[in-house]
Amino acid sequence: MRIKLSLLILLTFITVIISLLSGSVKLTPRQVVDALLNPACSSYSMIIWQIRLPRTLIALMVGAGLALSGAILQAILCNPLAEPYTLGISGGASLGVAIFILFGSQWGFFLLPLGGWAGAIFSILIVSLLAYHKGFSTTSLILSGIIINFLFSSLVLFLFAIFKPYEIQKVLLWLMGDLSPADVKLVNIGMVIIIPAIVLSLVSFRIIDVLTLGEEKSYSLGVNVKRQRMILYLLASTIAGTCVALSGMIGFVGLLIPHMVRKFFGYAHKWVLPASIFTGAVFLTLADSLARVLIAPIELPVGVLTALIGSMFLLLVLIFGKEWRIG
Amino acid sequence: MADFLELKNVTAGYKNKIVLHDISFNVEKQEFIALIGPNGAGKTTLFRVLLGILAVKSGEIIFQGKRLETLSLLYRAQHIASLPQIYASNIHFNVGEFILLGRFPYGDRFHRITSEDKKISDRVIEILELQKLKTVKVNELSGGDLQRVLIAQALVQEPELLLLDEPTAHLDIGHQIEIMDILYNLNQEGLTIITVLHDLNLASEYCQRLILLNNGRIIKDDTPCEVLDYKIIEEVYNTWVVIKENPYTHKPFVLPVSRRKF
Repeated sequence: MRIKLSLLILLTFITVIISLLSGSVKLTPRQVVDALLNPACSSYSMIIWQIRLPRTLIALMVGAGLALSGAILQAILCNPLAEPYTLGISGGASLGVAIFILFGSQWGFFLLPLGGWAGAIFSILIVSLLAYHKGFSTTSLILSGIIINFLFSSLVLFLFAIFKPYEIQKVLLWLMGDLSPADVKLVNIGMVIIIPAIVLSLVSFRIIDVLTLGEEKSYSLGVNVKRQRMILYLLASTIAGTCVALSGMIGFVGLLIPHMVRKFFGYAHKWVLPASIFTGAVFLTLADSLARVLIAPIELPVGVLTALIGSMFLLLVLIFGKEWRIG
Repeated sequence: MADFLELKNVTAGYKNKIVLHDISFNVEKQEFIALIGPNGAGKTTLFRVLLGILAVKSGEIIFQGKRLETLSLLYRAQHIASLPQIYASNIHFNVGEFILLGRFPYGDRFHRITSEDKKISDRVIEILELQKLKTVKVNELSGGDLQRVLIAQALVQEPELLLLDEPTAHLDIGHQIEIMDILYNLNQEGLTIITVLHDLNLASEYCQRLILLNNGRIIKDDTPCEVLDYKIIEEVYNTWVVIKENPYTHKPFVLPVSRRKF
């Protein structure tokens, strides 16, 4: 396991290099390293430091966050199909963005992620209140997530009806997922939220293990199921909500990566959680590099690409996989 | 000296429905008790109350001189282990990892697995002869092996009281005897056991004391010979029975009889 994880970390570094190399301006690895090490004397340091590195960082962070969030949610809900977006976060975030465009666009579009973030947090709070009322059972969480998602998505459609076309396009573009940072400051804000949340969830790996045994068994092993499930849900969805705010809707990472990881690392969360973090980071960063060069100079929205890759992958496994267990 | 476990006038149930009425009994250390009774009698509810998952509506449960609800969950987990009915198909851990999860109540802040944890789990694995299954996944175990693994996980909690809900359900007769023998040996070594059992004959063979429940009340609480009286059993289970004596153990043996004409 240790070796596998080390290989994965190595792969992450390679991915970062690849990501820094790809873009409309062709750079050699040497030029990239030069720009990284001696920003003052390299003529490309502007491209690397201002444009490519923030984008790579966002890709790493969002990929890691979404995959980790999915791994946690699938475990604590004992549901292999759970992912960050099924639990109301996507609906809330898009409503937040839509409302922002309606009322707040005079403050500048670079603040758009804040609208998404507020919407995501709002829906997380509503879902947890609803579920808390029902004892925070897995079913109540999933159901309230789906209901809130539907409610907010239909409100978004309602807003579309009164929007001007260019405003609709703005929301749609955001929904497709885009990793180019609106503002470098947002990267920092994202890190401040995501990194502590990642650390907190990593140290809870054993509690997550126990929670997968079901409510009664966890309880008799001394875990306060309701409280721990609530904490972990809030943690996972805050991570996911922040990712969505940073990058829009990037589908399939949270669903697919944890399953791929379990194929190689088994089911103990001591390994599943860190491995999901790195695999998610690698996957999204590579997908983003691909999106930038595939039909250059036009950029594909990375969310479209991950959804394409993800669904193709699942389709292949469904057809050719001998023994595929989800969950 | 206070009793090991004491239930005083316990009433419990769900939202609008009271399932257990005024249940009182005492349990001494090293007893082996079966909770028996027809479906819907309240056995599983009583199991959940003993486990502390379901709060009592009135009355109290005293464990080793202290009210159960005042004890922390971790403290309880270090003294009381349980085997709820579990959905093993969702559990993909291998047997070794799964058993070690039973050490959770003893973990520190970061729940590192200590050499003590390993030692205890290795000993339990040896006692229950699970060495060969250590790397098998829990969801791929057969019914009998699964029960042994579940018992192993409960044992590494080093409990003084073991609560079981239907440990022999869905097992063939060979595995039923195997599991009950394991429980019998554990009991002989000092473990107090309370188990929900559907099979009256297993209860009669293995347990010193049977508590018969019906409609949420205790009908009879005594030795198998006293409880397995045909008049009581026929009334509670609403069927005809013949009670015989097991020729080897001289324990009562219950044979249900069809009411159709012969």
